[in-house]
Amino acid sequence: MSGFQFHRVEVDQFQQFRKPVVIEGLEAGLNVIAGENEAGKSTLLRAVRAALFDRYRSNVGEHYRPHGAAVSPSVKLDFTVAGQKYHLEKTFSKKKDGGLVLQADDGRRWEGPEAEEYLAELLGFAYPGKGASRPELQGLAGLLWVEQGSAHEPVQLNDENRNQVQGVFEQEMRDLLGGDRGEVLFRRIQTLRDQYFDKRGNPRGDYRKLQQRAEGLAEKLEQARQELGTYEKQVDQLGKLERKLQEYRDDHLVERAEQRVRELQEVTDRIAKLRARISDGEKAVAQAELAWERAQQARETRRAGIEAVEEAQATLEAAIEKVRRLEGELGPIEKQRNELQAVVDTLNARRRELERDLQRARDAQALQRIGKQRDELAQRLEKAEQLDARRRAALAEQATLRVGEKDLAALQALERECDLAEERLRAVATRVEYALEEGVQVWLGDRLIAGEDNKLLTEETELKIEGVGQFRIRPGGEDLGQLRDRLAAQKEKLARRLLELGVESVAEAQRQVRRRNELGQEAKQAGAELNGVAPDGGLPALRDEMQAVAARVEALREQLGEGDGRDLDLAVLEDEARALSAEMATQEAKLAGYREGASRLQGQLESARMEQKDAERTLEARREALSDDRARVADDQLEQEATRAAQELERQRQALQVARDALAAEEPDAIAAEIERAERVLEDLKAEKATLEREVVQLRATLEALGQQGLAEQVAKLETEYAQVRRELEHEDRRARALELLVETLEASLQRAREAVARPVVERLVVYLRQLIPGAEPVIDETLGLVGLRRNGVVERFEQLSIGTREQLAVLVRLAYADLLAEVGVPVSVVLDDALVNSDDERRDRMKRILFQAAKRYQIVVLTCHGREYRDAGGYFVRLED
Amino acid sequence: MTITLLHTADWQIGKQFANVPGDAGAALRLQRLETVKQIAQLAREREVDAVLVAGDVFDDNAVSDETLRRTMNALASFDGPWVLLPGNHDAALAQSAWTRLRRMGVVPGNVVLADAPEAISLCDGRLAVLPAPLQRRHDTRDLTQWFDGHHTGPETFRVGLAHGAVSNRLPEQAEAMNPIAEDRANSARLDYLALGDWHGTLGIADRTWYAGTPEPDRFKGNDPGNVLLVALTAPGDSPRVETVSVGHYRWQQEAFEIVDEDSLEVLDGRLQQLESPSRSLLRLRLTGAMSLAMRERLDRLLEDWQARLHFLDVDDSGLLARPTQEDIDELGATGFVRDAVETLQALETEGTDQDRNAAALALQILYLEQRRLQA
Repeated sequence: MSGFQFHRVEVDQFQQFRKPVVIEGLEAGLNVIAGENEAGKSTLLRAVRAALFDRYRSNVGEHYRPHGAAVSPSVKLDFTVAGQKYHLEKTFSKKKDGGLVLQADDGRRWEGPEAEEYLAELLGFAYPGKGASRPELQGLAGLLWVEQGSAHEPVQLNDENRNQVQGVFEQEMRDLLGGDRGEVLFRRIQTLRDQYFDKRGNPRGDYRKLQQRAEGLAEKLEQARQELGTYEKQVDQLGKLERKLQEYRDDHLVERAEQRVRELQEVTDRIAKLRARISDGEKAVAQAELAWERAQQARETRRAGIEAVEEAQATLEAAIEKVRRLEGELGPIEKQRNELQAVVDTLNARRRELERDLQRARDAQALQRIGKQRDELAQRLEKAEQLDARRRAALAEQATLRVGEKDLAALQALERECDLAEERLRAVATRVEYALEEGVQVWLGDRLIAGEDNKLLTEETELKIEGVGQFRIRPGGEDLGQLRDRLAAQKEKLARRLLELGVESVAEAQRQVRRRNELGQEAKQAGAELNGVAPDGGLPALRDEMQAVAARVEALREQLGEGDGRDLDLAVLEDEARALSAEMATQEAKLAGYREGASRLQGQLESARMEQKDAERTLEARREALSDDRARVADDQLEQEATRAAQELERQRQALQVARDALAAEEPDAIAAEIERAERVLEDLKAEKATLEREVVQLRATLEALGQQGLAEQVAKLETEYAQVRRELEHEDRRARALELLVETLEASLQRAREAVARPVVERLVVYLRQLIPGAEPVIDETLGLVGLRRNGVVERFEQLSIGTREQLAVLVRLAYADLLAEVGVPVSVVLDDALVNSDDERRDRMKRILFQAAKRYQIVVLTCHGREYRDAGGYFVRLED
Repeated sequence: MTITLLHTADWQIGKQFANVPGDAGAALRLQRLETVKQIAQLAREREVDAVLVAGDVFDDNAVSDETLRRTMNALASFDGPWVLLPGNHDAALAQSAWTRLRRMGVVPGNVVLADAPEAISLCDGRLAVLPAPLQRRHDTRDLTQWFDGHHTGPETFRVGLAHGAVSNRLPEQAEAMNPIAEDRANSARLDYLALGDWHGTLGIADRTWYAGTPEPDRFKGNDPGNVLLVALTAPGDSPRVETVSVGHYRWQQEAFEIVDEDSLEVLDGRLQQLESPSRSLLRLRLTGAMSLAMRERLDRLLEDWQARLHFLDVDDSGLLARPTQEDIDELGATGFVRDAVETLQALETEGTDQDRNAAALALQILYLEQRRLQA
């Protein structure tokens, strides 16, 4: 066990420690100093650092003095370095009480500045020019003692540290890295390569331009070659076309086709001629037919003319015969008719005589009958005159009577009114009943009354009783006066009316009315009787009839004259008339028969004579027409013409048939098809040839234009150019490839060298890392710093790791350094002030195991506020109390 | 009375040299016309009776008008008859260099375009040239067939002119197209059969010759660069054939193996021995293995020769540059650089061809840059 080991620490009047604090019994291996927060763990570490690395007279000493403390801060340390045990006492003060005493247990002793220098040399640190000491000045302690709160920061080696660590394998290092010259060479090679490639490895600069030139040329060349290829193909095409054209010429294809067309044309001409001949022949036949028909017609017409004359002759003869026959028939019939006419005339004369006699006989009979009638009529007229006189007398008497039925009724009504008014007066009048003794004289009014009776008084009346005096009776009632007046008016009215009617009383009026009615009845009866005698028209009509009958009698008497025709027997006469009528009817019927026969024959004769006349005229006309025709053309001439026309027709028909047969022999349809075919062949050939010629001309023009450009030379020139660029490019490609390879190789070698430099640290570190994080490899750079971890081939940079892992790795890399240093006997110790606060339980356990292992090689002091977690760390455990 | 003919072929005027870039290639192209002028000059000097060109006068039917004119102009020195035969490069197609020449009206009176298989009578009827022009680029028929049936007078020399491959006589790689019967000279009673197509000068059968191209155009060493002067003494007699070199440029191929440190001096010595290097085109194939330091020296040597020769084409695909221990020591490489060098070395020996090449070049670059840093 070598290195740097603390045994005892005593601190007094140092910052929060106003009383002396002692930590003792610290062991060579793992030590844990536990304390609550604010218990002073960090102050303790600061005190140790101050004791070792700060000058006791430094201004910084005042910072260590507790506030207002009179006594100066002091620290006492017992420690061993490289096997030599030392006791150190330092009091921080610029005054007399400040000082440092270092006592080795071999008896050596140093004081004051001398002690400070010795200590610096012994522990390999430097004093700061000013202020408090800083880790970078504190040598290995600066590296290996971890302050609270900075444990997760990357571990930085300063030059001195690194030299110290690297010093361990200095020779090896020098071998691995090529030194400055290697680096300069590498940079130079990189510069060369960068002339060819950019950062992304793409060609750049002249190299790129050369490539582009090569590509451009290749393209141009390809284009030029294609043009040349096209040109050559066109040349071949031209050759082919020319050969084909030559074949056309050599084989005389067009000429042969033309010859064929010509031959066929001749045949066609022949056919056309034949066709014309047929057409002419057809026309000639048609004309001949026409002529023949005409001649035929003329002959027929003549024959018909002759026949017509003959026919008219026959017709005339027949008509003459008929007339003769009818004249013979008519003579006897006319004679008989005339005889019968005479008979009828005689009969007519007798009938006229007879009819006269018959009239006279009838007139005489009529006169006899009408005379009787006149006598009867005269009697009736006399009676009718008597009746009429009676009726008129009654009516005259009636007219003298003035009272009519109505008048009577009015009079009777007036009379009743009077009676009624009188009655009423009586009803209202005062009744005076009396029974008078005999002898008493009593006057009522101006009338003397006696006996028993009653009287009605209608007005003031004086009753005078003899001897007694007088009584004035006044009848009561309202208008007895009025009633009395009305009665008087009524009586007056009646009287006046009676006067007007000329009667004395109503009864007389009644008698007058009765008489009137009797007279009306009398007139009426006479009228009815008259009506029976002269029913129609009354008396005047009867008088007229009487006169008419008298006139008639007179007229008949006059007509008959003297002989009054009583001698003629009407019935005899009438029988004779009837017999005569029958005779006459018979004779007349007979006469009518003859008359009709005669008149019919007469008609027939008439039309027969007409027919005869017509026949004569027809015959005359026909004869004239025929003789006119004959004057123009004789009959036999017509016959000859008809025969000639028939022969001509036959001849033309035969000629036409000959022409038709000739045409059929030429097969015109086949020839038409053949000439069409031949013409098409010729056209096609000409067209093909023309096309060929045109193509040849065009191609030749094209090729001549192209030929001038010297395409082949252009291609060859481009090929040359391209070949040169290719050569240059190949050269540059080779160089670029070589530089690339060189850079890659150098980089790989450099990387390997760097890895080799870091290897000692890595080897130490790996031992711990495998326990902490299985499967992880450390990545250490050539400055021996921990760059990161490699897990599954992936590098995670230190800064990317979790804070817990970072503080654990920071501890491990320090342990690795410490291991390296310890191996070569450098005095090291490791102090960790709450360096693992971010670790989980499992990691902390692993770390504790690792710390315990490391502590077998050097002293490790762990300051922690989590004392409980470190109880089982396995080292010396001390609790820092307040 | 002897008749002298100048037999040439395969001028291929207008030919471009894709594998010879830049000015060197342009010069080659122009030289072909210059050589034609030389031929015309030669014909005049030697007073030949006619010049027969056995096909491929032009590299292509589609050369420019200017090329056509220049070619006609180049014939000017010799005013005797020229018979120009279409070959496979300039076949007498419907549209061809020949139709174009006629149309342009630039064909001199003494120049006969033999683009139809019809006998051409020259030298007042003493010479009948029977041409077999190609009328398509490739023909499987023997176009010289008609020679057999063509009759001429007994005093007339019969000379065939054709372009193609004589059956059964040429090396196998020769084209099988455009065949010519091997005994055509006999069967057609020819005094001489002037052929073109094969670019080397070659007497291939009795009285049957390829003149070859007068101006070499490839690295094939089959004796190009000549024309033939043919003397016909009497009909039926064997002709006298003289080969005259007219070619300007020399095309050569060399193979060289680097075996040790001294090899570079040996190579330099070999190059020193080239005649007229400015007219030489050299294809140099290098093989062997060498250090990086030596490779650097080799590159300097080749750059030097590139400037001295008309054209130098180096094929170093068979040359391996290996960093030796000394190279690496010289690099002074330590640490990762050394590691990289070792990686590249491994790749150079074990990788694919591409990797090997890249690795070799990478090492070379690394070496040069390191040297530059040290300087």
